Amino acid sequence: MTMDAIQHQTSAGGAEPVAQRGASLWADARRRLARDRWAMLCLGIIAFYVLLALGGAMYEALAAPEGGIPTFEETINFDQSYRPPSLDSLRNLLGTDWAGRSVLLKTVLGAKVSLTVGLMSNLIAVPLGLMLGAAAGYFGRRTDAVIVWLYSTMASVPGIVLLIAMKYAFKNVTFLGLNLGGIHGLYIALGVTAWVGTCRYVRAEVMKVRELEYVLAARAVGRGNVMILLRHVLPNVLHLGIISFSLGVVGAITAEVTLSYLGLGVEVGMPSWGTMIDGARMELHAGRWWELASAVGAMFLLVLALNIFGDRLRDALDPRLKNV
Amino acid sequence: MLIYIIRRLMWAALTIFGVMVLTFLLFRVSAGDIAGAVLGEKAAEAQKATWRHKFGYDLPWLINVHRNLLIISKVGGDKPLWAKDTGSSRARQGWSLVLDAPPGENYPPNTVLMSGYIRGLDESTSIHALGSGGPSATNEDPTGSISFGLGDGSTLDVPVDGVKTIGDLMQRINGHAANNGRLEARITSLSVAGAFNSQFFRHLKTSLLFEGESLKHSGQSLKSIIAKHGKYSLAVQIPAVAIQWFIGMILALFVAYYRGRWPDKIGVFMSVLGMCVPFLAFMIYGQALMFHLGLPQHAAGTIYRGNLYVPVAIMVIASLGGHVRFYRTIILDETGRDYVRTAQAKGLPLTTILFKHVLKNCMLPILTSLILAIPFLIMGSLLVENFFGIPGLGDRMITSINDRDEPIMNGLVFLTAVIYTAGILLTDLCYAVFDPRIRLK
Repeated sequence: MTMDAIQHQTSAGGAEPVAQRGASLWADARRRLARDRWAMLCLGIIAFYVLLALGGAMYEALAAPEGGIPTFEETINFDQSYRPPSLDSLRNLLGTDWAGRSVLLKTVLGAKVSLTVGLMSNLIAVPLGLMLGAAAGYFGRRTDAVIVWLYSTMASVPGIVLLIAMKYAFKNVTFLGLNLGGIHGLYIALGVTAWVGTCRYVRAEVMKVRELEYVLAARAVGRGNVMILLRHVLPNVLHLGIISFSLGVVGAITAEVTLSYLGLGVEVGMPSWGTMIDGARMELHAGRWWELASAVGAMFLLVLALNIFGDRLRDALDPRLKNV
Repeated sequence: MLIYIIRRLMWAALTIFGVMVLTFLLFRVSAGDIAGAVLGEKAAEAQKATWRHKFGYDLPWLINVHRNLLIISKVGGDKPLWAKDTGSSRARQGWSLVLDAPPGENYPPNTVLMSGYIRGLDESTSIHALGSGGPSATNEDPTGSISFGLGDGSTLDVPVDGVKTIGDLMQRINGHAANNGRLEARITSLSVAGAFNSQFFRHLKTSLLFEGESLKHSGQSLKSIIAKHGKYSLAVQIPAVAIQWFIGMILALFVAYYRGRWPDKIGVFMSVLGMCVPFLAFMIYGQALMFHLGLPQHAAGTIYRGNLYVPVAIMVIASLGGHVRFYRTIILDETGRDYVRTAQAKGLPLTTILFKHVLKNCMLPILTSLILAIPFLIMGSLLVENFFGIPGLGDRMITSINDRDEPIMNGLVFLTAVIYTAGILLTDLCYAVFDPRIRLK
């Protein structure tokens, strides 16, 4: 049987599209994802949230105290408090909170916080995990032992406790002009705790990659360890970083909501889904359901889209994990 | 095998040590002003210094190569030596230098410590009285006198006006006209054993022996807290984990049986949906449902049976999605193997293959996940206990972190880490026993 016949047979028999000859990993993954309706739908939802977040950021940038556009704090109007959702105006579409502020605006600003936290914490965690995992897997021996020791230690302490303790330690701490008691501390705390998963994943893969012929060939022509690691090994495990990133955002968003709910997340007064849930949970008994429902619903949809997209991305980028 | 076990044990010990370093960095080094958190931010600096000394928070961090000034009563007698700043007005609440009896064992009896731990302390080290008031109070020159109460009940008043250095103070005490060798002031000498009298080594010792005592509620030791609150956590967590495992397993086998067909697709989709609902929402809506059903007594507390059922039900429902998906993955991993094809070829019915052969082979990873859930079993779910007013260890952990109750939070975190590490060790040994391939590596 020729190669073409096998390819033909598999593509006819299975639902999985087969890579065209010559397509790179990235091009292949892009093609797989583009054909995946679910992945595209979820990507659309994520893009929608990103637009919302950008809109929220733009609003915050444009709104000036005592200027044309009122800031979020200036929209307080106690005559308007606890209005149920109505189609009368955009402001009241999702109702108003105890201070008469628009829940819709609050939810949009919360999306901004959630996505920023997801992005920033993973910008710390994923490169850290990639670097440490690659170093551990490639160099082995002592380097490996130290890094494995480091992450087993981190993994032995429940993550939420680590985060709570760190946020407490960061209280009233300023670093490079940033107040670590608030959202900046959140980026760092999440960043330095969330690298463990990526590191494990990358380390295991690099241990396999370093035995491959092209690494041997690179060594044979006299490339140094660092160059082999940076030019030959890392690019071949970079897709694991992308996968970790997409799934790590979910973890960061959940952690932000939990910490803000406990009063340890963002600064006091900053609208986020966690503070919305914390503030609105007692109002459910009074029949004021909309603020809680908005925060929970917004978070649910985003996490769902990110989870499904992350899974599909992993399937597309790491074909060996398929059907698992 | 023995070498493998020894290697694993050493690795576990290293991890435990790592956890102690981590908790030391988190709860001590970066914890900020614990004295201020316990006594109140506005407490006088002198009072805070005394407190810090009493609980050992003024010790050097790593290695104690620091000296201090000791005052030793030489007259015998059974009364404890005390020192009081009498000269100052109430506005100056006293000398921060005057501290309690030192905690170290290598001091002679009837001793008080008059200075903090200072590196390179000698007779030329300058001294000052700390001002009263908040942390911003300025240091002042000593005035008035210090009154010492000796072991036999007599007192000695030492004027300290114009004292600038440690040497001056020692001169005033040792050369006092009425002293006659009753009271000796001297600078401590360094010793090897004393080098380990530091915060880090003390932290290691209290952690390993589970020795801590609450800073906020005096008399509550860590052990009594674990004994008292642990049972609430276990009462909620054991049924929750057992039911999660049981229902999750059954559902996972069900969807794996229908692999690729609609029950599987619906099952997986529902699992993903369940995984994406925030845990907080499950709790809040679950509690609201109790109010809605007219059962408000079941919404929080520990009096009624429902107070147990509701949190357990919520934990089971909230985690079911993740469990089903995880178990399904493991089961499907197994069903692709050769022995399953062989069994099929032999003509065994699918139920026998699934429940007898596949399930047996899935047990190891599933047991692993169960063992790794043990620490959370004891620590409980922090959020659930906090939300439903269950006084378990998780709830206690949150309160102790809020209170900056360092010995308690450190002890509870350490307990979790120890149990987790022990669980991993146990799992690895189980793997080695049941899977000969690992043993041979």
